[in-house]
Amino acid sequence: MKRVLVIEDEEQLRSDLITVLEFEGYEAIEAEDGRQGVLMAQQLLPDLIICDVNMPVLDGFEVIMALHRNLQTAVIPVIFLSARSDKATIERGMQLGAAAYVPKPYALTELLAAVGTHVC
Amino acid sequence: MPERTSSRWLIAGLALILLALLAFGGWFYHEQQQQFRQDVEEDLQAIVQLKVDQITEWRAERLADAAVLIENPLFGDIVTGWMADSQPPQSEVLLSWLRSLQRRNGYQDILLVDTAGQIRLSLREQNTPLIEHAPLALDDALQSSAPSLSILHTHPGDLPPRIGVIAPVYPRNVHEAEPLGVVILESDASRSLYPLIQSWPTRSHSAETLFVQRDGDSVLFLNELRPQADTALALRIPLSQTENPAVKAVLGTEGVVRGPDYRGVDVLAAVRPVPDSPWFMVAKIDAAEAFAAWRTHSILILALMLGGMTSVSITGGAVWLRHQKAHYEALFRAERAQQESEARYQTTLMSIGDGAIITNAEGYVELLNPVAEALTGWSLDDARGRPLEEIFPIIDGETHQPVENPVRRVMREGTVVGLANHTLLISRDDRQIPIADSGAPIFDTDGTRTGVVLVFRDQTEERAAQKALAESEARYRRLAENAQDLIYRYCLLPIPGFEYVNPAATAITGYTPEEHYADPDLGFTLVHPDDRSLLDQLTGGELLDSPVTLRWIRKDGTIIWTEQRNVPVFDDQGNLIALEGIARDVTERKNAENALRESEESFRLLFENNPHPMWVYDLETLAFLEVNDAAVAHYGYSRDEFLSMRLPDIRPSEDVEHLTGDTQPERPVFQHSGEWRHKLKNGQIIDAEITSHTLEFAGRKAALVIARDVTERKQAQRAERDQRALAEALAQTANALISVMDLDEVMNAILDNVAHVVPHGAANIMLIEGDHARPVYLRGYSPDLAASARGFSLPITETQNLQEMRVTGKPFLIPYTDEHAGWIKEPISEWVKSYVAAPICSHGQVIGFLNVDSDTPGFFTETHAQRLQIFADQASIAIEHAQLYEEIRRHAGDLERRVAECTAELNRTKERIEAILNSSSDIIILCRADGRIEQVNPAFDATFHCEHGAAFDQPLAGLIVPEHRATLERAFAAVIESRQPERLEITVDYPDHTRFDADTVLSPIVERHDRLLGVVCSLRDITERKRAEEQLRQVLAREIELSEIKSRFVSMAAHDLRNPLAVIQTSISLIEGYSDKLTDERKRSKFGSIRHSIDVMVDLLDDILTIGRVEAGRARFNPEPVDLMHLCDTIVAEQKQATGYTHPIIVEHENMPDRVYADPKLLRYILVNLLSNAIKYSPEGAPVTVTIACDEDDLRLTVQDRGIGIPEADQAHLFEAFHRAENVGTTPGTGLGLAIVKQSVELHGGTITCASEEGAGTTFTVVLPRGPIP
Repeated sequence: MKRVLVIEDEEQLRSDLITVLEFEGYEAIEAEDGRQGVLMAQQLLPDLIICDVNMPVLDGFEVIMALHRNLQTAVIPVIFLSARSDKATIERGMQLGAAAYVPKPYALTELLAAVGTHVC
Repeated sequence: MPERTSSRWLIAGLALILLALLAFGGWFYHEQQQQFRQDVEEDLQAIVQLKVDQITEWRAERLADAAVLIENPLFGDIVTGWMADSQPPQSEVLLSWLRSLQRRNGYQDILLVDTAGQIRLSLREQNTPLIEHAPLALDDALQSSAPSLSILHTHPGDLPPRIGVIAPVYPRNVHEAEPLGVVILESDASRSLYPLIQSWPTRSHSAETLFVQRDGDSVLFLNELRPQADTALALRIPLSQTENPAVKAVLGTEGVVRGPDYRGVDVLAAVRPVPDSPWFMVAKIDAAEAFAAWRTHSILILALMLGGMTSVSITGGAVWLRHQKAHYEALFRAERAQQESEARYQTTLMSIGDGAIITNAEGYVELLNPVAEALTGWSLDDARGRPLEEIFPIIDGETHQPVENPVRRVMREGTVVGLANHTLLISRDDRQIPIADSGAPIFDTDGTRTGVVLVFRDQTEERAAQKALAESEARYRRLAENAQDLIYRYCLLPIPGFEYVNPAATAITGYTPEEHYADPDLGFTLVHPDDRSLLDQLTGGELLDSPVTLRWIRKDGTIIWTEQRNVPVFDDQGNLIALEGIARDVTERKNAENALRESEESFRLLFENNPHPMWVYDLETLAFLEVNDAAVAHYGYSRDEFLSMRLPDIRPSEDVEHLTGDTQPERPVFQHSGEWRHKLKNGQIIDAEITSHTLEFAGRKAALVIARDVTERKQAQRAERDQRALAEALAQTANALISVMDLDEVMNAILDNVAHVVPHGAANIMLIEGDHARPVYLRGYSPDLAASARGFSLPITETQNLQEMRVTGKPFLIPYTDEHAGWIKEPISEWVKSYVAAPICSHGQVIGFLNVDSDTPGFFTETHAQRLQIFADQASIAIEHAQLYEEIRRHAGDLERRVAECTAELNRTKERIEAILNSSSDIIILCRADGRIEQVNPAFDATFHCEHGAAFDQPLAGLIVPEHRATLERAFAAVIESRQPERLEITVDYPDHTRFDADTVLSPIVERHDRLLGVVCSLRDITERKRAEEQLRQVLAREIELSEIKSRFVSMAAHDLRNPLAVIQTSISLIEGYSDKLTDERKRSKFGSIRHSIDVMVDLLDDILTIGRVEAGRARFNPEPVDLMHLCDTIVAEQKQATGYTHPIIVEHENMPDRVYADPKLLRYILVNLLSNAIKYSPEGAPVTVTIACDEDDLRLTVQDRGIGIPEADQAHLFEAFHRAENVGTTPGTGLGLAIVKQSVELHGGTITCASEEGAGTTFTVVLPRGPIP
C-alpha cells in the first residue's frame, strides 16, 4: 500500500484529504505544520507528500528544501497544494523541484490524478 | 515401446516441475513474510521515534518557558518584593504576571514555593499540599539552579494528572543571593502531553502508544489507555510479567518486541526510552491487525501456488493425451496410404496404352489389362489360370519360328528383359500382330520372385509410317538434284560445314559437292570479306525472314552476287543447329542497279549543293516540286513551305499577270527569262536573273529553274541617283534658312525641297498646340482638301502615328496604310496608301510633324523616313529662330510687371507684421547678432512698465535671472550658428523685479543668401501653466499608486478566500464521490465543515466591508466600559498562537484602572494591527513590548519592536491607505492596517505617532483622551 503524507495546517481540509486518500486505497498520514511534516517524512518515508505552501513554522517551500537536504527524503515527490496561484509562486515551487502544483480551490479528481501520476 | 518411454519422461518432468514450484513457493512465502514483518516493525519503530521526538521537544519547550521566566530580572525583583510584603499591590503585580503567563501557555496552575518547601502562592484557590515527591524535586531544582521537570503525578480528588516544571527563583543577582524559592508551572497532562502520545499517524483500531515508567518492581502506566478509562497513573504491572512489552521496555529492551500486553492480547510493539527522563515509549499494535494484511497476502500466495501446481498437472495430462492421439493418427494414415497406393497401381495398370499381363512365378496368367485383352483376343476371365504360352503365343517375324516365352526368361535371368525385333503375336483369332514388349520380375518384401509382369505394344502403324517416310525422302532428293539454283543444308552445330549441296553448286561456286563437304570452312571463305558481317547475323539467327544478298568468291576468284533464302532448323531445345536454303546467282541484275544509282546521285549533288537557288516546278499547276538548300536559305521559306506554294507566291502581286504569260507550257527546252522581281518570306523584294530548263520530274512536265540574286547591283545604281538629288535639295533648304527670316517662307521652301528627294502626292507641316496637332503648311492638296485641313485639329494621344513620334522622337513609316490598323480614315487621309513622317524637335521637345503622303501602296521606305528627318530638323531650326525672337520680346514686358507686383507685396507684408507685433500679448524682442536689443513690441513696455525704447541697446541676457544667462547665451549662439529656431524655458527678472517663468523662442531672421539680420526673441509667461502641470502630475502619481495598491489588495483577499473554498470543494467532492463509504455522522460533519468555511468567508468579506467603511469614513464610534488589560492579554495570546510563538511578547502596564471608556471594537483593531505588524516585521525571537499606561487625562498605549524599521521616506505616508513601506519584501499585507488604526484612533479623538529607525525598530504610540465612564 502506498503511503501518502499530507502536510496542511487547515485541519478540516487535511482531515478530508486523509479520508479521500484512504478511500482511494492509500495509507494516509498527516502533519499539521511544515516542521512536523519534515520530521514525519524522515521517520516514516512516505511514497508521496501533499504539502500546503502557506503554513506556520515552516512553509511549503522550506519543507521541500529541508526534504532535499536528506538523501532519503529528497526522492519523495512533493505536490504543492496552495491558495497562492500567482505565476511567480507556482514557478518558484516548480523550480524547487515539486512534482506538481495544484492551486486551491481544486477539483478533487485533479489532485487524485496528480497523486496517481507521481506516487512511485 | 517408444511411446511408453516418452510417457515415463513426461511423468518425471512433471514431478520435477511440481517440486521446483513447491520449493520456489515456500521460499517466496518465507521472503514475503519476512519483508512484511520488517515493514510493520519499521513503521512501529518510526512511530515510536516520532513520539519520543515530540515528547522531547515538548519537554524542552516547557523547560524553556520556565527559563525565560526565571531569567527575567524583573520577575526576581517582583518575587523578592512579594516575599517581603505579600499584600496588594505587590501581590497584584505578581498575580497578574503569573496569570498572564498561565493564560498564554495554558498552565493548569503556577505555584510559588519557598526554600522550606512551603507553598506561598497558588493561582488555584484550593490550597492543596505538595505531593510527596515534591521536596526531592525542589532540592534538585535549587541545587542545579536550572529548571527541571517533575514527575507525572495526580492530586487527590478528581483533578487530571499533571506534570510540573520546577524552576528556582533568584533575586536580581544570582551569584550574590540564595534562591528565593521555586516556581512550579503545572500543566494538565491530559491536555498538553497526552494528545501528543495518543495521536497515531495512521488510522488503526488497535494501535496505541503507551507512556510508562518503572515504579519499584512494577511498571506504571502514565497515560490513559485506549480501552480503559482512568488508568493514567493507576495501572501497574509487576515486572515479573517479563513477556509484556511495557515490562521489556523498562527493563532496558529497545527495538521491536512481541508479547501479550496489559490486556493479555498478543501485540507487536516498538519500545524506546525517552532521553533524559525515566519515561519509556511503547508503540504497539495488535498482532492480529498488524498481520491482517499478511493473512490475506499469504492466502493469496498459497492459492497462487496451488493454482500453479494444478495448471502444471493439467498441462502434463494434456500433453500425454495429445501424444497418444498423434500415435494412433499416424497408424491410421499409414494404413490408408497403403490402400490408396494399391488402388492407384491397379488403375494405372488397367488404363495404360500398352498391353500388360501378370503371371505368377510358374507362368500362369493372373491378370490381363483391357489392351492385352484386345491384342490377344482373350478375356481376363477366360485367360486367368492358363499358362502364358497359350494366351501369348509369339513367333519371330522373319523366321516364323516360335520364340522363347519371355516369362521363362525373366524367371531365369531375374532381370528386366526385352523381346527381339520383328516379333509377331498370334492372337486367339489367328491375326499376326507385330509387337514390341518387355518383361520384369515382381518381388515381395522379402525379395522372393512372386511373378512376372509383361508389357507389350502393337507396332503395326509404327512400321507403316517408317516405310512412307523413306519413300518421301527419295522423292525430294530427286527434285533437289535437278534444280538450277544452289540448294544446301549448312550445319552450324555441333560441327559447322555443308551437310548437303545439290549438283547445281558446281555451276555457281565452281566447287564440286564433294569439295563443299570436304572443307568445313568453305561456308565462311566463300563469302566476300565485306559481307561476312551479314553472314554472322545469319548464323546468329537474324535476317532469316527475308532474302539476303551476299557477294561470293568463286573457286576461280571471280566475285558473284547471290540472293539467298534461308530456313532455320532448330533442335528440341530451340538452338539453331542448321540453315537450309536456296541461293541464286543475281550478279547481272545487281550491276545494272548500281549503274543507275550512281547517275542519279551525281545529279542530286549538283542540284542540292548549287550555291544559286534552284527549284523544279510543275509547268501546268506552277506548284513547286523540289527546291535546293540555297533557295531555302535565300528566300526564307522552309522546304515544306516551298513545296506547298506555287510560283506566283514568290512574286510581288503586281507581277503575277506578267508571269502567267511567261510560263506557257509550250516553250523551248532551255530559256533565259531575264530579270524578275521576287518576294522573300520577310516581304523584301529582290531582283533575280532566271534561267530555266524543261524536264520530266516524277512523271510530271516540269521546269528546272536557276535564280541569281542581282538586287545589290540594282540598288547601288539607284542609291547613287538618290544621293545626288538629296544633296541638292538640302543645299537649297539651307540657303533658304540663312537668307529668309520669315517663318512661313522658310517652311514653304522646306516643303518645296522635300518634293525633290522624297517624291510624294502631298506633304504638310503640323504644329502641336496643347494636346492637338494642326496642319499649318500644306503642299499638293486639292484646294478643297487644303481648306478643310487648315481648320482640322488632331488629338495626338488618339492618333497613333503622331503619338508614337512624340514619344520616341523618331520618324514614323507606314508603307501600306490599308494594312495599318491605327490609320485614321478622314477625308484628308482617306486617299493616302503610303505614309511617312518625321517629328520636328526643339530643345528635346516634339513641337510639330512633317508628314508626307502617297497614293501608291508601299511607296515609302526607311530611306524616305531618314531623309525626311533631315528636313524636319531644318524645320525645327527655323521654328526655334522665330520663337527665340518672340520670346525675348515677351520677357522684357514680363520683368517690368513683376517688379511692380513685388514692391506692392513687400509693403503689405510689412504692415501685417507690424500689426502682429503690436497686438501680440507675448513679449517680442528683436535682437542684433551681438545679443543687444534693437526693437521691442508694446507688450514688452506693458509687462515691464517702462518707456518705449528704454531697453534699446541693452543686452538680452540682462532681462533674466543670472543662473539662466549661460543657457540663454548658448541657445542664442546655436541659433546664429545653425539658423534654426531654439526653444527653452527661462526665468525672467527685469530690474523692476517683474519675475516670471517664460517659454522662450529664439528665431533667426535670415535674409536671402543666408545673411543673418538678427534674432527674434519671444517670451510668454507660463508661471500659471507650470503650477497646474505640477498639480496634475501629483494627482496622477497618487492615482496610479492607489490603483496598484488596490489591485494588490484584491489579490490578497482572493487568496484568503481560496482556503475556505478549497475546504468546501473537497468536502463536496467527498460527499459526492464517496457517499456509499461515509457514515451519516461523517456526512453531517462534512456539512458542518462546509458551513464553517462559509462562515470564515463571510467574516472575511465583513472585514473587507469594514475596511471599506473605515476608508469611506462611515465607521461608528460606540464607546462602552472596557477591561483593557483583559482585552490586551487576549489579543496577545491570540497573536502568539497565530504566529506560532515565534516572538516573546511582553505586556507592561502601569496605573491601569479596571475599566476605560472606549470602543472595544476599535481598540481591538488598534491593538491587533499594531501587534501583528510588530511581529510580522521583526526577526524571529525579537521581543515585542506592549505598554499600557494611564494618567489623569490620557490613556497611553505603546507597541515597541526591534524589527526592520520603516524607511524615513515612507514614514510620511505611513497612515495612508494602501501604502506599504519599500522594505517589506515578501511579507504579506494589504497596506490597510495602519490606515484603519489611524481612523480608529481619530474616532476616539486621539492621536497616533510613530518613531522608527531602519534596522533598529519601531515604536507606535497611541494617546486616547480618557473620558469619564458615564
